[in-house]
Amino acid sequence: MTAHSFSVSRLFHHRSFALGSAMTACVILVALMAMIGTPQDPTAMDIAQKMQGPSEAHWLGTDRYGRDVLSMAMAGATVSLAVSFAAVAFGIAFGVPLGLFAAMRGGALDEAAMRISDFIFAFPALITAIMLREIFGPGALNAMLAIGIFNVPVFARVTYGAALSMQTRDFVVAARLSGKGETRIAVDHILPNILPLLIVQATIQLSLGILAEAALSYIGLGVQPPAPSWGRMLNDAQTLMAVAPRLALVPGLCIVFTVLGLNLLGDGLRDLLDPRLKRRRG
Amino acid sequence: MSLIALRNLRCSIDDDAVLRGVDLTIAPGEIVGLVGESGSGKSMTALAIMGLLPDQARTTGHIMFDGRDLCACDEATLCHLRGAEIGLVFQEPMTALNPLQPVGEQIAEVFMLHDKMTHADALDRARTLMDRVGLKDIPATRYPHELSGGQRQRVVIAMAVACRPKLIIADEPTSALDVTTQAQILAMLKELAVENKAALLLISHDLAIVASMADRIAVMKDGAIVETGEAASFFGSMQHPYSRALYEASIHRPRRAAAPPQTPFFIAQGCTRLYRKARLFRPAETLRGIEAVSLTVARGESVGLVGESGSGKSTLARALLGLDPLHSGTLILDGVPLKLDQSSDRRHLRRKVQLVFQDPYASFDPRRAIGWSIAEPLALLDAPPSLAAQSEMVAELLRQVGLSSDFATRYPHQMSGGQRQRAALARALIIQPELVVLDEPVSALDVSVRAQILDLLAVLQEKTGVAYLLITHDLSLLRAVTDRVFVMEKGRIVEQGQTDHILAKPENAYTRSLIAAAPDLAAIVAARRSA
Repeated sequence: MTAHSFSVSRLFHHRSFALGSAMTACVILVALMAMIGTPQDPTAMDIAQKMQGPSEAHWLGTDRYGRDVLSMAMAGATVSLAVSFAAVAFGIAFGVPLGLFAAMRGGALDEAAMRISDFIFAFPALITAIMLREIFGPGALNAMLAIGIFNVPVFARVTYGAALSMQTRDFVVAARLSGKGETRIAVDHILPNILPLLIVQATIQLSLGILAEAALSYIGLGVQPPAPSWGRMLNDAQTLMAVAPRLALVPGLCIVFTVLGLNLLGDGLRDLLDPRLKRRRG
Repeated sequence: MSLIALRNLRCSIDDDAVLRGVDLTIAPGEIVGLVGESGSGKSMTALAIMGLLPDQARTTGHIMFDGRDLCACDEATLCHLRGAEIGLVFQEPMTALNPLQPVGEQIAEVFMLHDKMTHADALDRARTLMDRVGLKDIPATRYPHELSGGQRQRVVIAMAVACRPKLIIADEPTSALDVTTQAQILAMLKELAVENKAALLLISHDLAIVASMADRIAVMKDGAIVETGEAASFFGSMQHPYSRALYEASIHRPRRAAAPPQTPFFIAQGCTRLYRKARLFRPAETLRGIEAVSLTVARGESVGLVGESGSGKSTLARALLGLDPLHSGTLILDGVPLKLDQSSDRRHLRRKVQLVFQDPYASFDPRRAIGWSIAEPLALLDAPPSLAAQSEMVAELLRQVGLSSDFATRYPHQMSGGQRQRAALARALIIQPELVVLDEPVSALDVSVRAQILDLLAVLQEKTGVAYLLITHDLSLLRAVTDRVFVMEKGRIVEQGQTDHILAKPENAYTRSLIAAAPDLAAIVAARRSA
């Protein structure tokens, strides 16, 4: 009847959810495989084998230092996913409590908390990353932190808005009449009811995180050599576009595939978890 | 010769049959009342006539209107018919009007579309029509949000009758309105129908409204009309068991003994709550929510609080439960004045006073099992019982409110409205409060379910000795279940006393207008039979 009574088979009738989750699962699987091992060492250079086309030894060929492109792309998936998952976790860990606190308390503290989040919002991830680099130097951890800080106000906003609309619902008033304090109400009623929204937002932020990580690594603020990353592969490939377009296409398509998968998954989840949209089938 | 005839009209949406063979005829100028409970297919019938069913609806059968079969007409013909030949009045006037266009323009648009008038002529006609529907003092340049609910419904009615249609369909035209406004709107609707020689199909869940308005009554159940008859004799000669059950439930009064007089244990004294509207360049404007309201409740008593929307009933209820602070006045519980700014006193208040909400759909957390929600107020106890003891208490209460104990593991969406309202009573009673505030507890329920809930309330009161404070706009409900009544108008209590006494001999002018406007089915039926 309602969105809460869905079955697994019904879930996969939703086309964009089915496609998005399959694509995302592919990327995660590859990233996990790369953690165990890649066909070749993604950092091993072999100048004698440089700029080779696809062959049995190198399925996607080699780059200008003779590194195996397939292995680099696989290892890049691990880095990209790790950075953007960690950044989303960071955003949730700080943003959700901030939004909840502001919504439940109201008054001057509410204003203060949300203005602080507006303040953070005013700094794009790129500017934050440049700032962090000046302080701590470049690296994957700083990229993660920069994207994570950017995620905090996003989650704070979503949580705040959703929690505020829950506040006046009858069942929350009933909980208040049951003598429950704001924290208990937040944990017992508000969080479970806004969870679908947060899950959808998390998938969107994950795909934005992948893009941001690629961008930061591309301009040299993210993952540092020799560690492989899609953004760095793109940077390396750009001077060779005319000679070997394959070198740019592989990381480019990896990014497109991952972001598209996450976006489709987010769209599907939004439809499936929102009772108001339950009749729509993508 | 009938104006419109529905023949074996069937309709299904996504394989759900919503209409299962509707047969209904309406003669020119006739007023037909269509009654039924929610989901019976009343509104679907209206939409089918207008050709406004959802896209995925599959329809068979015939709708003969003035010699044409509407089921076979194309969209262009239907577009012309709507408005010109068939006028529709919706339930919720705010959503039926365009919020960004002055009401005069919206009425004029009907003339321009169907009578091909110039803009200026159409505006003239709109003005005349607005005067006719009782909006003499309202400029045509007003926007919908600047009007009251009743005024908006008058605009909608003006649009429906603008082209003098042969048939007016009114779908629950007054269920969003106050009772005094309802009486005026219904009277005007009937007048306009008679004046324009239009037939009127009045759809309602309220037998009293239909009985007072219609020439003929049709009772609908599960997508079919089970019985039709002349209104004057209908209630005396009902054949179908469902019609009888509906009538019985509508006039149902639970059996209850009057509470013996006792000294009050819950006293509200001089309660005032103001709302301030902040203004940037002017001093803040003060709006009164409630002003110097005093009331008392004794053990085991049922007290009614009646008033129209905006009278301050809900503000008072929230204040009595300690949800909103009072600006002046005190609550006294068992002789002790409460300090509501202290959380210990608020807990004490809530241990003794609980609430049942109007909307049984909104008052339970959709993501929690019903048993969990029912046990929630146990958090008020200083030493909450163990989980095993809690589930035993929940099972016992579910049994008391007439539900089996396996409801504890169900989720709200797996229950009907009536079952949810029973569960809401269980939640209110689990900590054995002395007073339960009932905020319009049956107004969202169908009439047969309503009768069951009223019986249950009476039984529970007898068993537990709990007192009720019933907040309602419905005078028949007050008469059926309360001992004493407080009448509220504009944030003040204007009259109070024994329910029977007040309803028989009201002294206040406002109370008198409320009583005069409230449709009373038994009285209407008696009057029509003798006429």
